Amino acid sequence: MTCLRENLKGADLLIGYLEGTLSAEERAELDQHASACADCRGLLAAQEMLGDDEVPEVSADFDARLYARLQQEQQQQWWRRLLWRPAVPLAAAAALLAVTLWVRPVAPPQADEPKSASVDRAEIEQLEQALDDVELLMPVNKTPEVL
Amino acid sequence: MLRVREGDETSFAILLDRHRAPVVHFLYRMVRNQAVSEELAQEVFLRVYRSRASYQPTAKFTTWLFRIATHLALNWIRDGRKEKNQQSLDVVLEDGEGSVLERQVADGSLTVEQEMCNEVRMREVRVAIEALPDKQRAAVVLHKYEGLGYTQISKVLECSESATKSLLFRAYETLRVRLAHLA
Repeated sequence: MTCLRENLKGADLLIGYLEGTLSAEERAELDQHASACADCRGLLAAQEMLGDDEVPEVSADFDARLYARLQQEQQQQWWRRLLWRPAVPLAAAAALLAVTLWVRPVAPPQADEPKSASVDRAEIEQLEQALDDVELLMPVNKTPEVL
Repeated sequence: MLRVREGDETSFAILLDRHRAPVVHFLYRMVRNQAVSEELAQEVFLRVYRSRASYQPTAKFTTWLFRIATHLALNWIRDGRKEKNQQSLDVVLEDGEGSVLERQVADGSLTVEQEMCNEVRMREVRVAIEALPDKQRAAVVLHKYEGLGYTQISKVLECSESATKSLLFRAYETLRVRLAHLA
């Protein structure tokens, strides 16, 4: 057997060896090779060499913190769901419009005379003013042909 | 998980009880910081809970769980948050893992010298594992400490079985060279 690093099936053999899935024959052959090859012996023992790495205990309040976050998230989702319902923004817009129309001040009536009469008088005054302006622009010694 | 999907809250508690320690320990071995490992583990279980409605039992539950945990750990490492939060090994020994050392010394089964040697050895092992490329580190931690086979690891890491074997082979070969003096 060639060294695992130079063997095309090196990865298969190593993982099979470590996971105990090699046949008895393959395992014996590999063990025999490793007894004479320091590199392969080291490779087969590499996993074992890592030892039992101790890790800290999980904090006692881990679950409590998790459930608090879950609860907080559920509450936020409830509000989000409520706000994202299509009917809610529409209803809010309709209510806002109704309130705006209701509170908008109504313009007081202008004058006692009828509206059409006041408009006519304004137009006459504007026309008279325009004629006066044209007259002022004319030369003094010249009579306007138009007039 | 199927019962959790149906809205059974008790089943989530059972699931949490069963998988809390393996997930936190895996994450601790990946990030080497207890606070961060627990924070990431909380995110794992939050994601499990959030996804309960859409959960489909296409793979083993633990595969899915470790896939989420691995993604979070690798992202955390890649984001460079490690540099900000990780304490030096000396500080870890004094603050966090000093308690482990004290516990071991206190049980009286080994001498103080033996315990000190073990601790130094384990520190070297941790540094060697930490120096591995991210995916190799995840593969070794899952293989060695979480007891997952290469088939399941390939599903967790979402790569082919042959690629996973190759990943593990390269990782163990690197560790063999780096830790040769401990043999």
